[in-house]
Amino acid sequence: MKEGKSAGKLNNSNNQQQHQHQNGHFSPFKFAKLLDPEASWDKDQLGDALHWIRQVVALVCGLLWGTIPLVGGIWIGLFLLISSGIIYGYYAMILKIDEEDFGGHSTLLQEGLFASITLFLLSWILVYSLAHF
Amino acid sequence: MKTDTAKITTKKSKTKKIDRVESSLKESSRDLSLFKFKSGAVVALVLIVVFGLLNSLFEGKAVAKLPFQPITLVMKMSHRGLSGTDSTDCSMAFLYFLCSISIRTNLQKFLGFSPPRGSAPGAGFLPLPDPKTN
Repeated sequence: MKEGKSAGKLNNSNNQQQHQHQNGHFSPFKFAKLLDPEASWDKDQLGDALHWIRQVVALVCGLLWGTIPLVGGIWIGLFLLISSGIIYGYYAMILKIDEEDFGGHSTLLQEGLFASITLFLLSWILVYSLAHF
Repeated sequence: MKTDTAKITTKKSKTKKIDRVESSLKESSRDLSLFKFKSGAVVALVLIVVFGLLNSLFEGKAVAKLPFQPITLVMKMSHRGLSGTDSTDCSMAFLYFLCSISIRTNLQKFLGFSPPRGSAPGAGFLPLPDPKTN
């Protein structure tokens, strides 16, 4: 009985610590999972991670190419190659997941694709127009 | 004999359960569609008013410069209402379109309002095998 009570107290304190972590800033726990090939992912979590990575890449590329500036439609194709390459490298080489468990390469590569293209175009056009005109 | 009867009874009760769950799912889907329709109508109305207002403010003005030559299909929107032959002039409509898609999608995702995966219109094309007959 006493062991059960003390185990229960330990569990409570662990839960409280976890809550404190989660309620505060993004804990190291979450970032560590992003780079941990041993971590278990469900479809929604992985999809969200890939979506946000694509958005960050789109924003960075748009800001960079608008600043330089890079002009021409070919840079849209290059952005697509770069962002898809980063996503593929992330899930295949860093996370080392089996894409068949998550719907195949096409499902994973499509995650957040359209939103990232529009975000890239928006940031590229805005920075280019504001900085150079 | 007894085991056969027990199997048939179990199968019947499973079928009844499935029927109940399916009818409850249909009801919930109907309620959800009605709710979404109402809120969607209000959102659409607000967006139409905002678009009309922006259109009247920026009609005929190039609001940005495109860093690429758009294809004909894109140019229909990006050069909408603009005079002149410079295809890199960007109208309000194209910028509005880019803003609405990128910001709305990401905001929905960030705030947790995005529709769940698999609720896309094409998801129901391949029906799952009927568990009642298996």
